Amino acid sequence: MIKIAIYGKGGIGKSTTASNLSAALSQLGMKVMQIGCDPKSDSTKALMGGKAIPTVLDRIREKGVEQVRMEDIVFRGFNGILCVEAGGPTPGIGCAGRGIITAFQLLEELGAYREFNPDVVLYDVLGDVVCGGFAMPIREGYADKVFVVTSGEMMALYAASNIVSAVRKFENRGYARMGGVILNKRNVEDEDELVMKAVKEMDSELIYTVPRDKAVQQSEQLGKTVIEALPESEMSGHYRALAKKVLEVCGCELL
Amino acid sequence: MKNLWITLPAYAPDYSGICSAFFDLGGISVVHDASGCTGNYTGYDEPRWFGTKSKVFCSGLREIDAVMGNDEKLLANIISAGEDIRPAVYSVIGSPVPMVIGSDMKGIARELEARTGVPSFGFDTNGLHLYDEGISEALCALIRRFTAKPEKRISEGINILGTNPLDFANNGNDLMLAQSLEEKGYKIVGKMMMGASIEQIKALASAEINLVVSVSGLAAAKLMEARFGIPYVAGNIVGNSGEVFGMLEQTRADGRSRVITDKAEDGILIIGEQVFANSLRRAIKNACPGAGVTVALMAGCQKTLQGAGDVALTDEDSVRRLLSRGKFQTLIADPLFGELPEAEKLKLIPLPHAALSSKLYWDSAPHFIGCDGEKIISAAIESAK
Repeated sequence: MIKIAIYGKGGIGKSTTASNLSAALSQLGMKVMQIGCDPKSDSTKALMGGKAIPTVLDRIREKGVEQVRMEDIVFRGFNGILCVEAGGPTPGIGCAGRGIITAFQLLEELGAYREFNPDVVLYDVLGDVVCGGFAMPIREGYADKVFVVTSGEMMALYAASNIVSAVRKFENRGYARMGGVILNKRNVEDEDELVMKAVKEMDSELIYTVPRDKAVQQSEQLGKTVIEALPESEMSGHYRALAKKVLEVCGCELL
Repeated sequence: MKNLWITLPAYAPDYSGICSAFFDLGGISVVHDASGCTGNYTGYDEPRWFGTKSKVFCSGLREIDAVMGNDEKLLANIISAGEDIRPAVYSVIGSPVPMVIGSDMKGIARELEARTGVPSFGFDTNGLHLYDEGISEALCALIRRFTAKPEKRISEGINILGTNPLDFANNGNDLMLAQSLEEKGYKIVGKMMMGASIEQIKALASAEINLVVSVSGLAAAKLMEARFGIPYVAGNIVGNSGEVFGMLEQTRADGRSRVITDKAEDGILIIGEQVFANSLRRAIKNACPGAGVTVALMAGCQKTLQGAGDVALTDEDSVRRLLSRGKFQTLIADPLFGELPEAEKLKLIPLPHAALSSKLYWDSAPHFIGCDGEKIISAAIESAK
């Protein structure tokens, strides 16, 4: 089982990248599970035909933690991809990080990984490693590799640098290792050079550059990934190539 | 009212169970909490710590440490303590606040081990579970870490799994049990955890059979059955009962695990640790086949060990409701249960349980094997007539 965590600044295109990556991996014949780890709970929307699915914390709120069943929280989306949203507390109160921990604990108690036995688990995580809860996906037993999505914008690179530092800090604890940086282009000036320089300073590696393309917005308006909505497009080719690169970095022998 | 403990104290929690399990290993146990409750782990939840020098510490977690996630302070303090004590192992143990802020106890233990080279274990305990779960978790972690596949099995080699002073008191019950097995020709390979050592734990898989003597040893037995194919018997020697020896021989012969358990019947109610309570019921029924006995558990009810009709109690309210059903004439339980108004009309046969009453009745804890055990059986039979 390959376990991947995708981090990056809020709004940088993590969920778009993650969903297209999941879709591309599923078309390579892999059973994929995507787990959204953001209280916004919109990670898997494009895999579910544009519809939001009930989150793990929603279900706990409705039914009580003892009563939640697997079918309440795991949904099949495009090409059989297993979709889960951790969810969050009531906005303005509660603790979002603790919410992620609770959702992960419930998935484990229900034996989700054992029952579905996915080939790839992809954790799509909120902007930054802001507290212990958002480090949960990179702890022992969860993701093995972390990929950071960034653009050439300063705030995105700053967040990426923080994430890389956090991942490195925890290496002694047997946490996930850095897989590399994915550039999701915003077409800012000198973007490639800026990102290359920053990645070098982070002592990481740029594994793929995803160009900016209107196909992404067109597909999102249809509530779909590019892979599903525009399978023949150039962007679909990029996401497929990204999927192969991610597998290569993870040492997957399927290719 | 449900979930309120009015007359009875709460049972020892999971972190106390971990501390207890690591007591004999020559290590340092660190409970990551605010301090102020250290007396519970060192003085009340573990009879052996009361009045003796202990190697259990509280991290002194403060609000700002919790806010800042200051694990470095915890690590530095543990390493500093270890420089003087030179422990064989470290255990880093969670409590409610680390649970809420999502501290990664296993990750902290890994970092500790990376820096010191000393085997370190982290436990995400939170005080919301009971001691038996903590002990079970500790035993399984130690087995996963240290127990190696043996080159050969030791004929009549046996491990004793689940001895702990919260169930066994600290009056030599564990030693008498080991002696009884040795007198029958068994060779004790490992004792978990009273009298344990890391060398013993490494060799556990060379035993032919495991004897589970409390519910805290069951998960370890199941783990060793799955990993090494060692079958187990879950039962205790009570009084002069030889039931366990017969089961051990049967299991050695056919390789099938066995547990002592019987159907619940009205008459005598035993509230206590599940393996001992089941064994006491069997001893009573062997001596007086007509006696009806029900086992009720306040802690550690395992389905594998549960007889039909046995009762898992969740709180004081459920105990009171069970006692007031009018189905029992005799109650064998910790003396504190006798203080419940619903127990007034029942004959109480005291069976002190340190996990509940701590040091209140340590001095009168019975020896399970021999005269004391026989007295409990006789008193139960007398009350059933």
